[in-house]
Amino acid sequence: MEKLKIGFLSLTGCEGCEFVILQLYEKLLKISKRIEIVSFRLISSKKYQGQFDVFFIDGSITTKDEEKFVKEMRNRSKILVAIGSCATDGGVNIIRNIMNDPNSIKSVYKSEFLEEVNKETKPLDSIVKIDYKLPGCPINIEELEYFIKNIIVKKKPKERIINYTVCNDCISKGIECVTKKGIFCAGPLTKGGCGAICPSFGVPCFGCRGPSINLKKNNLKELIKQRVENGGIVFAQG
Amino acid sequence: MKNNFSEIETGLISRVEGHAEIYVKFSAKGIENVDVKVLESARFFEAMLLGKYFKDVPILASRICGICNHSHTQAAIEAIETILGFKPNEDTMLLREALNNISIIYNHILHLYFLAIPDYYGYNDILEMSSEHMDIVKRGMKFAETISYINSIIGGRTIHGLTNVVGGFTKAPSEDKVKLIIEKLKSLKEDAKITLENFINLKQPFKAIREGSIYAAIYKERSYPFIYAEGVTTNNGEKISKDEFSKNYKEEVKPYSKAKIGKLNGKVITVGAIARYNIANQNLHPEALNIIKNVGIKEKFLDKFQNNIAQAIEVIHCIERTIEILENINLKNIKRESLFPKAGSAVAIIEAPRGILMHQYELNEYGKTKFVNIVTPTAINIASIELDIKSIFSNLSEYSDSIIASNIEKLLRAYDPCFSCSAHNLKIKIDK
Repeated sequence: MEKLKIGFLSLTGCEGCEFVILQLYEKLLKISKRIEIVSFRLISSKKYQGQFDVFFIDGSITTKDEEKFVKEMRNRSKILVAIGSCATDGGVNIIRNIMNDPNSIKSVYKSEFLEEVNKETKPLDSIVKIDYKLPGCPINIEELEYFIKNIIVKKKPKERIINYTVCNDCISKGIECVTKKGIFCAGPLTKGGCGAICPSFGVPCFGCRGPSINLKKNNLKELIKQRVENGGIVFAQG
Repeated sequence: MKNNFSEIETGLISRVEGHAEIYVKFSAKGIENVDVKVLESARFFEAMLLGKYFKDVPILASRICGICNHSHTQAAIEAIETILGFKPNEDTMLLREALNNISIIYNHILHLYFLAIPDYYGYNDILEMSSEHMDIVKRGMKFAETISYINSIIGGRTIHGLTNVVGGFTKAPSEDKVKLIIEKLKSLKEDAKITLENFINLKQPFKAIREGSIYAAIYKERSYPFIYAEGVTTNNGEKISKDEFSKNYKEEVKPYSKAKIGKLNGKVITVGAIARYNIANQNLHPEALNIIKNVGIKEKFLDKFQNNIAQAIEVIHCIERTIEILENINLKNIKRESLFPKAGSAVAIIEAPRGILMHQYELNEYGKTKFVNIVTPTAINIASIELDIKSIFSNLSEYSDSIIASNIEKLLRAYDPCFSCSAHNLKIKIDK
């Protein structure tokens, strides 16, 4: 039987999520026996022009070229997966959208750059249909493994359905609530499933997994804007 | 065969961090111009970092790069703590040094095994290489996996670490975990030595020597430093302060392209493992010195491919130094101090895995940034890469385009460039 063809590429972002994929290490060797990694620019010089069964994109869309590329990959892929905050929710790049006073950005950046760059940075699903999302900054390696195992075994990926917040992760692990120290924490607003890795090391949640599914988005937008304008950071748009 | 005045474009370069293209124009006299084009779209990090509260700055700065994120965090922390007039206690400084060493090892191992080694063996990638050279591939993977584990114990996470913050550490590793880390590091010593021997014995694709290259790195008396610099030095022995570096490192617009290239006092400099080795190899850990003496390595590296050997030596050094630190550290002193906002400005210069990294900030009285300037090692090295290509490939015009292009790509990869980082190297000042 023919192996499934998969590929990876990053748009505007730090490529940290691709380095999480590398962290599968020896499992990558096993995986590559079952599926064929035909395109992975970060680690391979291989060039491939054909169709993909599953294609993973990290990073958000910031230029016209990236928009074109995402549309092309939609046409060339049976399943298109957004990985990491930048691709699923805009990631840290949305701070620029919130600060987007075009005059201030123009005054500090060379104009030739701005010709190529869109006014706002966008997550992938604002341009094309995305079949699956693996959120996080960076992505969670267990979620990635679970997803890939499902591609291999069932030939159909599966996304974990998460209808709870990061608070549930904290409570179930018995982690002391960081808000008790008077620190802003986005945990109550954020989709759980990360095992509350940040609070477990004494760091508040910055919302990298995107808004929890029960939130009214309009209220959240205003909250995120206020937070950024007050000098804080957030990783996902409302 | 190739006629004169032809142009070569490498296309999207693989196996480097980030996106880049190189454009080379030949004329009758050899190479007329070289343009390394960084295609990573403008990421506006220096704009996004403006107006941010000092505690959040290192966390956001981490997202500049998915592989050397630790260096951006550390540089931001050093600059901000300097502004706030805070000096962490000795043990906190040591744990930061240990964490930084682990990050250096992680970056070097990923570069050597995942990005560079397929060039020497003639494969597209490490997965293809596993069919014939499983031992090498497995060694690299085991190495990287162990280091990732150690990184996650001290730093909370390998990619976008959590514990190292302004004021100290949010959490110290337990005594038991530190013992385990020491054992794991000891178990890597043999692999590190084999890695070095392996890279020494590999046949280089071609000679990559540019006479008169000037190497620059940070310095600190009697040590082989990565963080907490006293200043910047070059292989000619000049020493300048961090503030002087921030003033004397200037970007000029290239005559033949819209892009800018950076120079220190008007001179092109080369940074990275090869620069650090050439400048401070006498200060390497005695065990590392012993090993390089036994395998017979020279004191100066002239060939840019030897950057890979310098990285392998640094892996040995960082393992030894980290074991030494962790065997003597007092974990009870690791804590996080609460710091309060204060106006001021400061420059931090550290050695990221790929060389000199500068973070410069100005804070207002509320502790928010009003000036941000970041200079990355890859941005510094672009000028050096361009000069190398001009001097090394000028005599090769008779070769086919594809051979020249693939050789240029190999040279570029030896520098271990990181284009995600360099793509936002623009100065910003907003007056409010």
